[in-house]
Amino acid sequence: MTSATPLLRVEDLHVAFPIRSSYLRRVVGYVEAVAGISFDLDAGQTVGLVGESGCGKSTTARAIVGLTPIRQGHVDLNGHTIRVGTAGARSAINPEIQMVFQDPFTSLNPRLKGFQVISEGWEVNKRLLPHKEWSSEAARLLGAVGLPHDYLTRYPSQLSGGERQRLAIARALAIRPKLLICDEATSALDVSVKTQLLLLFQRLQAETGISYLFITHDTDVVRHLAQHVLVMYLGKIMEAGPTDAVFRRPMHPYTQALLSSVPRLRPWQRQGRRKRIILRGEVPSIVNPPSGCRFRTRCWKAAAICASTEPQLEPGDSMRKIACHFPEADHGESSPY
Amino acid sequence: MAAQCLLEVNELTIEVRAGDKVYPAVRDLSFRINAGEAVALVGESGSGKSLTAQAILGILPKETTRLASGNVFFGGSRIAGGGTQTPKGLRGTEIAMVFQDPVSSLNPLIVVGDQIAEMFREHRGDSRAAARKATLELMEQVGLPDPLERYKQYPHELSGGLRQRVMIAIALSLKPRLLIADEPTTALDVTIQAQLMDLILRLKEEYGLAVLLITHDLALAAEATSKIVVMYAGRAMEIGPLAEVYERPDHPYTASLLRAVPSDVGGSSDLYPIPGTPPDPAHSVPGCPFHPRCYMATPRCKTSTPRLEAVLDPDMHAGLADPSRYSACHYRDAIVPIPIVPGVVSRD
Repeated sequence: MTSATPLLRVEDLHVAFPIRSSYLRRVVGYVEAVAGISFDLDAGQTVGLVGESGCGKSTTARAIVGLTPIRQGHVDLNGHTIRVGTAGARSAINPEIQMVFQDPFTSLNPRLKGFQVISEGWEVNKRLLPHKEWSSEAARLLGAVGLPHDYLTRYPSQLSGGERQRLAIARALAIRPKLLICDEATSALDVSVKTQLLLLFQRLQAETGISYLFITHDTDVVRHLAQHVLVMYLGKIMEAGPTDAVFRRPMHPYTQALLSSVPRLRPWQRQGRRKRIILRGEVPSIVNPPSGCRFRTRCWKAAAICASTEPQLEPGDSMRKIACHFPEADHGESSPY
Repeated sequence: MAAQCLLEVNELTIEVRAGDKVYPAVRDLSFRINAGEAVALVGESGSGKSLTAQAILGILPKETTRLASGNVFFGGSRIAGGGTQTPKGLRGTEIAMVFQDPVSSLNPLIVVGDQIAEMFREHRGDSRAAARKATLELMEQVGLPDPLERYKQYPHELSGGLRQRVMIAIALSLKPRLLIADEPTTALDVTIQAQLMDLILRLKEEYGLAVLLITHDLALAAEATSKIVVMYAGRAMEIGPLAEVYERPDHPYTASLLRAVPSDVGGSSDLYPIPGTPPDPAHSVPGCPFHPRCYMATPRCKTSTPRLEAVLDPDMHAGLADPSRYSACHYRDAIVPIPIVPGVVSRD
């Protein structure tokens, strides 16, 4: 992530939701769902944004797409600022950024057939594609996502979950976006189908050079698709860096705990051995985040400084950054988390 | 190790009615759980694993499902089959359950402490004070912090993880012999999942509890159980000791499913999906249900449905069956590894 102009640059992004009083609905404060995160995404690359529910990863995606206003910071696409944090209204949706959502049952209009689902975007952006090319392009897109051509005339209710998600991807690709944001796009699918889609995402990137931002709680997805990973907790980035380095040797206690909580397929194999970290307690409320480091209430390393001083994202080894006062390599020599 | 059989599901067939169509969603399913044993019932959506749990518990929805044939035995006596469902009296006392969604299982209008205490009052006839005391002890045991405070809280005031702990407390209140956990952690974050599985396994040891874990997650099954029943399209495809099955599957479906898990432990980051789509239970295919997606399928598989039978033990002399391994494949004694098809795009 060092090239001059990245495809996407997110700088000091803050997203806050107003808290209103129960009676007069006056704004009495704000919940900072995303509390200042920055990252770059280069063309043709994939960034994975992982974290547990409530960490702000989906809000980050919605802010980049323009579905939710941002409070502070800015988002640049190809060097042009497309969103800035002001009190102003939400900015225009940018066709170069498309999104695929988790639930293929609610994200597709049940009254539209496959062809209409795909051509909707051309309807809105008339200059994108001459009308006479619509049917051939729709058929090509179906082929690209691995669906038979006769699905152009089928309704979503006639498709399985995996097929619907393929159709949703075809719809997103129809606009020829530079960036596809996938918010838990494979989370609702069975493992055999999920793996099919991961392969599809890989193939589409190799063929078209599209960039992905994968928002997920599924570390397997990130491991397979993303060159870079951002680990979020309560609205902040805890650790960021090349996926291989971060997953092989996580240095932030939260990353260590998160990865060690993922069940292993063959726990009896020595190769997969790692120390199991079971965190105490639950994620604190984002309305009232802990002082200092936001992870300190569940961290086994927490000391006085963690409550008084918030650790900043600082460079560590292997091109990564860690926001921790006591970052540490895992003791296992090369234990694959 | 003469383990005692606690639960036996024998040739169970469950029919589902959708509109005017009736089809078997579970077919001829048989498996056993010994006392104190943890067994995983694993399958993808539509495999019939949750219906099986409902049949054991006697809570099959009457309007749409029917226990068509087969029996369920518990502790040596028949509890379901022959036109009867598992009696209500066994639920909670002998067989307890934890479901995926604790929100719909708890009464939103009653504080959680009273919901646990009700078990003691109803089934044990405890006094109010005795039930309260037992409840606070149990809350402590299942790791609900500040039991005195939590006792007075309503379900909506608790996080998903804490609500599931309340469900576990209710399930274990009467010291059942079998806990059926149907996707108990699917809706929860992975760090909370680790906490809860740790708790369930600790309580299993303390109480000598048998556990039937129903899940789609092969890795979760591996961490928590020692025996696996792999289901596909309503049938058991393979049954055996979990580690043995994972190391040397005796059914092409199990082999394909294990290979499809995007896990990195083997050092390979390649992806091997199962081709095709999961079966639609309403449209059964003739022959083996897995043959349209199977890498070993032959013409025989399209016409003849293989039965679940014991697999020959490769370490024994020819002709001796391994009494712990079962597979429903015509070629169960000669399963070949999945052919590795290149064409996987490298990540860099």
